[in-house]
Amino acid sequence: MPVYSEEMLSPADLHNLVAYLESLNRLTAV
Amino acid sequence: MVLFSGLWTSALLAEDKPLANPKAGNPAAIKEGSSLFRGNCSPCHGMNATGGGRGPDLTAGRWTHGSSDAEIFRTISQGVPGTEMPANSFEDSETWSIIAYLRSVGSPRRSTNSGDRSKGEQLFFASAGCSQCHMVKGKGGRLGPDLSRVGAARSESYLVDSIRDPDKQLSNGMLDPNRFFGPPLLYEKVTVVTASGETITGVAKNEDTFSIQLLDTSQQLRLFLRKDLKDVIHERSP
Repeated sequence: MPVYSEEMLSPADLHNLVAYLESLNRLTAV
Repeated sequence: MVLFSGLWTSALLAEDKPLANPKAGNPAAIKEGSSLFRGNCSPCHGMNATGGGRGPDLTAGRWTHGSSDAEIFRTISQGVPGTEMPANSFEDSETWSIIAYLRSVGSPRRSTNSGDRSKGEQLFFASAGCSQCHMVKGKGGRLGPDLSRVGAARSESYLVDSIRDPDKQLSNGMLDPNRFFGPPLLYEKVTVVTASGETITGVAKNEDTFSIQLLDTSQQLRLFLRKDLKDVIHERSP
């Protein structure tokens, strides 16, 4: 797993990527 | 026949568990539950229940298999078929203590992330290259963990750390020196150098005194005998 520095992945892109990952199979989100 | 029926009903009732934790909030139970958790659950769920190599974060209030006390009791005692969560043989009292502990460390919380999910999906499958190694719902690579359920298992901060500083999370929860729960789920990068000088890099899937099996970067499973190799370079110690 490479390190995704800010040069490789901007803070805005990180934000969007994490939003996508958090949406995966959250069956009982509160 | 009626007598048998009555006995059977009584037996079922006797098996019924309380719907709510009778030890909820009890400091002694929380302490006992913490100890039981660390000794039995932390190899998968991490020392502080924030998630480990196998098990999800149990502090985020995201209970995929039911969030009530009775449902968590069932999950602990019976396990979850089709997942790595095994059945356990705790006394009922011990199970309630573990639940009391989990309630004490967990707090339902909403993500503060207001990012754009669809843009994130494009990043995952295109420019960020995540899908070269990670699979989501059957699509993507196999070098890294399958992330199809990661949203239910990991906190926002864990996900950020995993992207910005992935090594920080790799060893979390790996406190199983006797491998009671099976071999550790490591995604260790390994490069082998063959006798002809060819270098092949991949993820070690299995390794012993005589051989090593790699899933290489083209996702082919390859077996090498150590006697045929000039070198085996581990990027990270197991």
